[in-house]
Amino acid sequence: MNLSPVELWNSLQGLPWFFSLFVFLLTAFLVLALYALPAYFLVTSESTALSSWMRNHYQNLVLQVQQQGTSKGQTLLGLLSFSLDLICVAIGRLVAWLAVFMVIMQFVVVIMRYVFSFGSIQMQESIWYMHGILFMLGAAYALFQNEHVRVDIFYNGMPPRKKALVDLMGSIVFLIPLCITIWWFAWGYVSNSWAVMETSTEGGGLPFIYLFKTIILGFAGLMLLQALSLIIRSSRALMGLQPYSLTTVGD
Amino acid sequence: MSFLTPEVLCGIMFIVICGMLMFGYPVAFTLAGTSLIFAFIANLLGMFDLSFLSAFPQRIFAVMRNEVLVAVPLFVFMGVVLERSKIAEELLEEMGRLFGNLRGGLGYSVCIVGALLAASTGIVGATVVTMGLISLPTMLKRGYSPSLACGTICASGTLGQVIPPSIVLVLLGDQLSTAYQKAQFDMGNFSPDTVSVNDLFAGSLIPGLVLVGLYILYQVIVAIVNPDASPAIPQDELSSSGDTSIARVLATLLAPILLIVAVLGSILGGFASPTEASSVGAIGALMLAGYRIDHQKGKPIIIATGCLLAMLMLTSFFDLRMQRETVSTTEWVAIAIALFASAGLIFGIAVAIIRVYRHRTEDSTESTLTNVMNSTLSVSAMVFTILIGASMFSLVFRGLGGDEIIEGFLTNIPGGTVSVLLVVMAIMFLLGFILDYLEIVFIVVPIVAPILLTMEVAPGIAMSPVWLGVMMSVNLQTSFLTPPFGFSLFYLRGVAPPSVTTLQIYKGVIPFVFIQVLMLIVLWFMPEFATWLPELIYDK
Repeated sequence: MNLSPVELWNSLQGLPWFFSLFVFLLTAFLVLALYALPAYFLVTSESTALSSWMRNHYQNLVLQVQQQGTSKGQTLLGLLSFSLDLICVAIGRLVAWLAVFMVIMQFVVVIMRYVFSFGSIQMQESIWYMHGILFMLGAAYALFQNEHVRVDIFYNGMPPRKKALVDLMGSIVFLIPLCITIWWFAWGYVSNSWAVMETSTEGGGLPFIYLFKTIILGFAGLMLLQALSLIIRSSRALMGLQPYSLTTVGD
Repeated sequence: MSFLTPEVLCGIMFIVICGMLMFGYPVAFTLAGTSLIFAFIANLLGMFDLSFLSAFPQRIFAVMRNEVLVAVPLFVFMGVVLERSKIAEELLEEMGRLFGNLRGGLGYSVCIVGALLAASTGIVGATVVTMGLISLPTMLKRGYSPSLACGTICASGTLGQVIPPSIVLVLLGDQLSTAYQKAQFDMGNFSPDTVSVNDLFAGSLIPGLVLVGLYILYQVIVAIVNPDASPAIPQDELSSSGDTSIARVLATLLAPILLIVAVLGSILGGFASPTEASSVGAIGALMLAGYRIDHQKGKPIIIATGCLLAMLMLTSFFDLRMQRETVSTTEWVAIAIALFASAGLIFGIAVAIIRVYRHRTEDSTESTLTNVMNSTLSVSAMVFTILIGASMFSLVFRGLGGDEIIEGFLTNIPGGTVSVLLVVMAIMFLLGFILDYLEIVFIVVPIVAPILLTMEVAPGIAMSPVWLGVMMSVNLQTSFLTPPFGFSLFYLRGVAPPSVTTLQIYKGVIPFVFIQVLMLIVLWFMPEFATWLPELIYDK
């Protein structure tokens, strides 16, 4: 089997959208399992056989979980939401750098254009790419940080349990259907772009429009993961459990 | 089910969305999610074709590669740098010190700084909260009447939205330009005029500055009529409170003001697009922050500024293009100097960025640059997710034939253009009680503006899109100030000390509401107030 990534992707395009969404979720959860399962065993067993670096890495988490003394199912779900958050936080913090690069790149374009009368379509387009990636892949991180605007006339005055209920219901009724719908309709849109390896409409532009469009799937996928995590977190809050803190591990 | 026509469904959808928003789940997802549910219901009833939604990814992609919208994260970046590196705070303090020995002096400085800096955050709440936290305690400590202090802060905190370069004006300008194009197509004009963000910036400059002037005028009157409401800071206290050398005041006061004036000037002067100017503003803010962090070692940054000025000088005297057939010797020298200056500029910027990266404020565990990046990310993601949510709403709304309903409704209002405008403005004003500026711009403008812009304000005179935009933004700002539901009042209530009563806040803000209404009336009868400057600059 000599299958290049592009060929693999091409064979994926024929698949229906829900199958691709399933593949995405499966991959995400496999990665998560690789991360979360050791932590799970570490927390639930008394074994000292695990190597020390792992213990250090998960120490913060282990401490938090042990302090709470919840059931195995709750621990597993908590760890799941914890690792889902880690994915969104890691990607969010990574793409946040694009804000700085955007500023620098746009400034360079301005100086080149106004001082040396020299313009580059590729540089200009790279700014759009950074702009798109910044907010599309950062949206889930913003959701995790609770930065999306709410109409908070009543929300602010609610007790924590009611807030958690709003978040739980909102994620189930609004956010998850929205993410699935975006994936559903974006799948065909993105596959069509891959099928022709769509390039920039301008001559001399960047030939990566198909990759850029794929970001839409990334947006839907990451939001979906974050919505799942939000559901777990708010149902934990409804059950009266403390939230895990990412502060030491996330950095 | 005969009563359930698409029209009725549209109405129900709108009401349900308003109701759902009240629960407090993030606006973007409530908006898109509810619309989606209605799309599926309508599909089951045979009124909506789900394939309509296949335009949705295209809408998202249009947001991702919209050149005008790139200005939003860049302006946010600039604003956050000024805020996080405490330049804004210091500006407020220095300004207060400068005007402090005048009666009402602190109030003037709040107005001016609000106008200068509030622009870049784009969320009404954020600015009011920041200003409330920084200046309200100072003003109360100095014996200002609580209602005057609160009114000033609410009004100045929302004022930044009207004054360029504000990101909501960028977004409104983007929406208006699409709407204007559509309106002209509908009228059968297939080589339409365009309206750009620049036009809107130019149009809102004069009304915005006049509003600042009126706010200050009101405070002057209060200071004369009722001196106890806004006492001066005693002179001896001023001189004893730290370093007041002129150089320092100049550095903290002049530099940020120059930066903002330069950004605005290059846009209004037609030299640069808002996107280009915003990047210069962001780099300038970084350099200011780098200078401020360690002004003992300010040389690299001063040198970089000098290099930039030298490059601008060179480029106005010499032809610096390198890809030419013949380049004369003097030009080669000029090019060499310019390249050399670029090296200096790059060095200065690098020093500034590294300093901001290493810098930490006392109240944060992370580097200032990391904070800035994360805030920029959050605000941009928040803004554009709402835009995406609103475009889902408008797709479903349009799919149900909602825009024809609105058009039918608006064109059947008796009394012509004047009453239609009044109705639209009244609806926006009321929506301002529950929704923030962004949502209203994204939801209402694409639906009503194309219809409004096909109407004539007087026989033979088409409605000016710039005027419409300025009216809308002043109107919304008024809405955010109006008791008892105005947004900014809630936000200030949240950060004001308990000793300040809600009634005092309401009382304090009412004079400012009157100023706003006055402004709206003036704009109504004298559209030139908004349209004169863009016509002068861009010759339209």
